[in-house]
Amino acid sequence: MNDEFKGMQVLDRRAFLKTGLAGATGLLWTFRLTEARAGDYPAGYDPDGRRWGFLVDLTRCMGCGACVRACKAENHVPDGYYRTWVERYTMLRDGRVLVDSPDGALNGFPEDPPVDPAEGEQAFFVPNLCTQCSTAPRGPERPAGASSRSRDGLVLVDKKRCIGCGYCVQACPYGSRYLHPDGTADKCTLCYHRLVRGLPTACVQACPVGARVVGDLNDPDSPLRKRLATGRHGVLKPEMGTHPKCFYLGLDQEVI
Amino acid sequence: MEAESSDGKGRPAYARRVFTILAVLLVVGLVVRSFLVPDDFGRDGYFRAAAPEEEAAREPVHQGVEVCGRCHPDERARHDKDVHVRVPCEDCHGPGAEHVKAREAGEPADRGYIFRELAPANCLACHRRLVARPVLFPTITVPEHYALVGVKDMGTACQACHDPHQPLYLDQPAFEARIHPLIHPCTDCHRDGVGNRPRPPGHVVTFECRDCHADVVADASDKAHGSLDCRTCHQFHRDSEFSGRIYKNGSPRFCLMCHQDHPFKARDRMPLLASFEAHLQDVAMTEDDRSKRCADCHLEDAIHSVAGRSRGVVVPGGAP
Repeated sequence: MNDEFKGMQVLDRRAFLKTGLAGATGLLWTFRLTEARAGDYPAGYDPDGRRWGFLVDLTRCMGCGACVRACKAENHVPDGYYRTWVERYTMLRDGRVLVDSPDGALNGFPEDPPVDPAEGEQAFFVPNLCTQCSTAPRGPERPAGASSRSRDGLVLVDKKRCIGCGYCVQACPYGSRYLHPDGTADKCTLCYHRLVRGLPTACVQACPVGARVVGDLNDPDSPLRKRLATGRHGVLKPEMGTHPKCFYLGLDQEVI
Repeated sequence: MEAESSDGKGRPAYARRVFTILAVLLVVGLVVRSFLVPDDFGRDGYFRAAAPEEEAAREPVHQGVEVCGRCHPDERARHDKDVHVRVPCEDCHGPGAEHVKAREAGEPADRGYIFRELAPANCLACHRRLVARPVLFPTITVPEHYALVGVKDMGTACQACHDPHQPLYLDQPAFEARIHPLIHPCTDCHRDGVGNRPRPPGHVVTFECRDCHADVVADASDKAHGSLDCRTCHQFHRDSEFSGRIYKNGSPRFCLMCHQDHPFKARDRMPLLASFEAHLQDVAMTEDDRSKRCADCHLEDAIHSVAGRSRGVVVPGGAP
């Protein structure tokens, strides 16, 4: 044996393997502990039998952006990203359609679009948020198994498992997802943490004209079902086959 | 050719080694997988079944009007009576989580302080006139509005005349106001006016104030307030596609939103009062006069006669 190692404890192969295996097992065990289930639903909340849905009344929205501001504060949405945003559609007499959304309407709409009033035909606001698809795109778009669906029908991101590959951001037909600077995908959760406590979503609570409604699609007496019954409604991009649970009252065919 | 060595069944030793190694790798792989994949993964789908519950465990940030009203009942009462009733506190004041937490913990008053001085831009986020805004939502352009009410200092804040908690000083709660069909003067769409142009054939027929209140409208047109749109004073709230509510606003504070003297007001636009009490003091002949309101004296001469008016019924309540 080399002089250098004299007096030091030397591991034979068996001891090395033993120690190594034990260490690896220990590491895996601690990893497993951190993955143990954390939250439970608040007392009195039962997700089974519910199906959360949403309604946007385009005839009422006046584009103030209160929903965008409330959402940003409620969900700590970083600057430049939006879980909900408001678009403005301006239809011109020559058939062109202008769509704009300055800062996602975080500060409302500071001015009219640069269009000659004589050229404009009609204009309206369209709030956007996660449509909570019933059949969201699935498969290779979520390699880490981080896109989850709650038993009451909401599509959510598991921040602990998300690896930030961005496939789901590309797969969403509505542009509802974004890559958060913390390296995970992020999207509207329909304020799940508020719904389970019996509170409306932050945007519904903030809307001063009642243009947003959240409720249980399975409950015929929910405010959502009652408002849905008051008018003709549609969903965005029905041709994608995603069966969204976010409905729009007074939806125009130009809206995409 | 014979293998180097073989077991009793004639399999070569290298093949045995390969299978042994593969078996060991498989077992190790399965063991490692059982540690790496959480127990509840796959129970409800290709994800951790506990993930939604973890998301639901987050604490809400916005507190809601109920929570605010617990400590601020006066503001709540004024606010709930007036037209901003559907604007929750936190729309203007910002989210209340830190404020409530600091107050409940008894921390000093400057901790979690959320008073907010509103800039005109904050009010205009809702009330700026935009083509895309629904026509029955009350909107202004600042120069036009300030010209109408005789404000000469363009930097004047909205709160100088309007109390955000009760913007119209209604006599009656907003949602107990008289129901009324929606009215649409031509100028709702033709904002620059239509002059005497005839209605083109096939044009939609809209419903205007004068269609029911012809006498009142005709009478108002040659009085001091005649140049105003009826809805300047008879503010209107849309409830549905077809109907809304017309507010009851006979309070002197409503009139004084325009007629109160301020340093920023132009003197020549309209009669201005230093205060309503002082005005009563000046003009009161009898003790009864001291409890009078603006319309008691000025309705017939300056606003319009109510001789020919028609009124509907009051239906209380209504969806907020």
